[in-house]
Amino acid sequence: MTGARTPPEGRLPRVDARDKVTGAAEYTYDHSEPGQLHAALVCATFARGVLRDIRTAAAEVVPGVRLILTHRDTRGAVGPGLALMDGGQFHTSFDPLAGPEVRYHGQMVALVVADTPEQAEQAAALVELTAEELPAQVDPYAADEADDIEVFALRRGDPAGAVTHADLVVEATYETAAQLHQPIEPYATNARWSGDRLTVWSPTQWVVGEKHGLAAALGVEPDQVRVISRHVGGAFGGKALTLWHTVYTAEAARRLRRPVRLGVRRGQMATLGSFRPASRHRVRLAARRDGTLLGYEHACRTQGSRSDVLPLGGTALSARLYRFGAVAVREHVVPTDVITPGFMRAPLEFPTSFALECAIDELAVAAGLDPVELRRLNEPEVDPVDLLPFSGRNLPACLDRGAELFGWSRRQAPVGSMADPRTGETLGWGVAAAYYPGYGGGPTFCRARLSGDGVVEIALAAQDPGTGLRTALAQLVVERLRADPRRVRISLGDSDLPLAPMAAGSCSSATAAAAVEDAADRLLRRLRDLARKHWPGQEPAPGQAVPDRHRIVTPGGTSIDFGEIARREDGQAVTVEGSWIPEGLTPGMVADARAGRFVQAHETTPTAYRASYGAHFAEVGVDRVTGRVRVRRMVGVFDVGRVLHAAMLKNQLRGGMLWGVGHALMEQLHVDKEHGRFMGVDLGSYHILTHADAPAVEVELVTPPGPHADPVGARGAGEIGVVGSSAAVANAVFHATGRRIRRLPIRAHDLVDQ
Amino acid sequence: MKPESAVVSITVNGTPHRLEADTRRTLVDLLREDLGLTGTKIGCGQGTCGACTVHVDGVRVLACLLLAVTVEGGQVLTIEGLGTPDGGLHELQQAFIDRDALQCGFCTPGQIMSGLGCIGEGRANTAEEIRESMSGNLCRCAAYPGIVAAIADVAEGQGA
Ligand code: FES
Ligand code: FES
Repeated sequence: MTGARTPPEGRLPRVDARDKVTGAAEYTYDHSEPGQLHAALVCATFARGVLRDIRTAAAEVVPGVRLILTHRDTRGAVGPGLALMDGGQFHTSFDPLAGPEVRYHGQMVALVVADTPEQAEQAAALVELTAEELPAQVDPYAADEADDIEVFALRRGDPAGAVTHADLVVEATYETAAQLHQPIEPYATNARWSGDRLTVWSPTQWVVGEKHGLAAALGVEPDQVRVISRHVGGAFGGKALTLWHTVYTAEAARRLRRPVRLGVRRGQMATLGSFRPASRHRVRLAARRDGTLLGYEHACRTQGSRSDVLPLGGTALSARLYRFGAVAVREHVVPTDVITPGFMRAPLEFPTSFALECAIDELAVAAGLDPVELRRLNEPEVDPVDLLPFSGRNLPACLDRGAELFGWSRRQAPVGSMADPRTGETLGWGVAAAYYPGYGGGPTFCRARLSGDGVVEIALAAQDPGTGLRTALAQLVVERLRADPRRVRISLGDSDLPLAPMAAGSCSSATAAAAVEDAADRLLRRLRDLARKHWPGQEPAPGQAVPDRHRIVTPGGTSIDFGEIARREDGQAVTVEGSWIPEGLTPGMVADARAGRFVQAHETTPTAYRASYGAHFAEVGVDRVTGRVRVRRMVGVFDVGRVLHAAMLKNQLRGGMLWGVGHALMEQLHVDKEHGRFMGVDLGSYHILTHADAPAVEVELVTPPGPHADPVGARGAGEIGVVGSSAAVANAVFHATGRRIRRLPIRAHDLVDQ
Repeated sequence: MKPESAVVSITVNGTPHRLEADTRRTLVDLLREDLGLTGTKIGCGQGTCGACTVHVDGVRVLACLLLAVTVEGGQVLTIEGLGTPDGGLHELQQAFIDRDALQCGFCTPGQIMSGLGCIGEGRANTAEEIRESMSGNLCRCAAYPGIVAAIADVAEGQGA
């Protein structure tokens, strides 16, 4: 272990790290208001049916209880809320308090408010439900296929025909489990009304959407609502959209004319918001003996709810990964009796890539080829779906560099041929490719303000739920303005700030950076003008005054502090606006974004298909007696475009890769068929990776060869780390054991003889 | 006094307090709600995540699993009590920054308090030992490699 205190790469340390290591960073549940009351939720204890009665008498007499909201009190007062897919901001269009209908186990059915959290909890536990129960189906594989909803299909050529003249055919079914985000910060809401103006503190990836969603559901104008989300304790897609408990906490505060805070309990998280749905994939690959692909067929069934239809198949993206020859993909959603599933870190890419990247490994085995070689062999010249050139495709370089770092050339191909004599484990080495579309992001505006004390404040309604956005933007401003990092402030997470998009799709950093770059450049021009105006004798030729260490240096040698320039300008702050409208967005779409709708430029432009690529290499050790699998080390090499701040990116990429390890080996929502629910939804039962499970992870970034996809050129790293990571582990398990485990998570009993 | 309340005397970060507390109130809620020390987080309230880790009488504990009234007479140390009086950081806090041992930061106070315990207990001799001893502290951002490195840096500096 090294004792060296090396500062993180990318020069600036994480700018909010100090607040986070001292406990000073304020998360939603940390916020308190004078006179604040406390809320607790009552959730359905049966799977499906109609509430006949909600008995609140015992709860009402608990000391301190102020209000019990049920569907009987709220009908008509709240809603409706439009789901994202319908142009709104809600996770689900199904309002759980709209009526007596219960659609899934754990559905919120009442909200209790009391003077203290203990009283609220006690009262919530005393609310009694009686219901007419109906049978529920939570297992998508037991659901009737006749109810499946086709959500996507695409065909290029005739892959089924290719099978007939192929030398090699791999055909298999893969499954991924239903999974939970499990951010360490649970959902929470803080709501305060001042007259008819509402302020909500909420952990969200989208303050602007939350503001509009709340306004619509509460029947007020958007400009009456402010949403604050300065720090978010992990989101991963689970805090992207407005959830109904947030609305009802605000409604309770409105009725009581007092601030109300809700802290959601860990065990309630699974049925108040999003989860990653279970998915089943039928994949068929056809190839020539030499490994050249001739056809790719992929049909997937993804779990859904009965309230919303959310296509999360992702085959439109996997279909562009290799030179497949012919392609046919189809996606279905399987309605089940659960809350609507949603976006979870690489929602489209994770499940699909697991299936495809395992199938590719199976093909490599069938062809007798090294799996890195097989992938290289099928490198496409153009995007196989739209025949567009790629913008910055760098997969071969990632594979090559990853192989080198990992020591792949020392791999012994025969199954079970590698071992660690020290531990007695059989070793397996696996590889998989990673990809993530290069979404163009949404319209982004920002304000740069230089005040008399010389502080440059950059403000926009973007979020940093741990992605490092604050730090990347600070780095950018420091570089662009040659500013003193101690006098650069980045303000995010407040819907009153200039419009910025949801932290999603691994593109928000790039778009925020583009807007900030624009603002920084404008500020610099402004400072030069002002230097000319106020120091007339020292006039630089146009464009000549250069910034240096928070100062403008004129050709005459005068060096003027930024703060001095602002003070000279009548003591006023100097304010400029910057913006970034991604290519392909119309004025109408910008107006939509202003109205709180989700707007994001596509990964496909008229001239190119843009995506990020990467490669995972994993070493597993398998105990052949117990079947225990341990991931011992991983290497990941990624091309995510221009690097704004290497340390932030690598931290996220490592985190994503480790998610893939957890997804591969432990994460799973079990279905309780008898009671029609997911069981074991808390952290005691739903296992995520711990310190002891986490292998050493080496991450390297390679830079893109081609032209940048946009002026900023950064494509984000939040999600690609988890894409393919589980497949690399599963492929390594095959290499160690000869057992092809096609269902996640891989369990010990999959690997021992029963 | 309300029937469900009791008086508890407790010293937090060197400051003695005498408070009337709901007998159901956990130590973490006492710290956060009564004393305004919100640096200690609640991730689960069930003893499964470690976000609420503080020290009581020099030992790392899960503050969500302790009823406040049972800590009568106890000496509690929280993340807010770690730095130097002049506002400087504790060396483990600095090591977390140096190693970028965090992302969202929500688990961080608990990781740091637990890490201190791990070092104090003499269980920070190897990375493997640190990982074992820190496994009660979950980090969903999976900033684990940085956390282990930060703890190792400090342990090594102390000749552990
Ligand atoms: S909050 Fe105490 S262990 Fe999770
Ligand atoms: S830093 Fe986010 S949970 Fe640890």
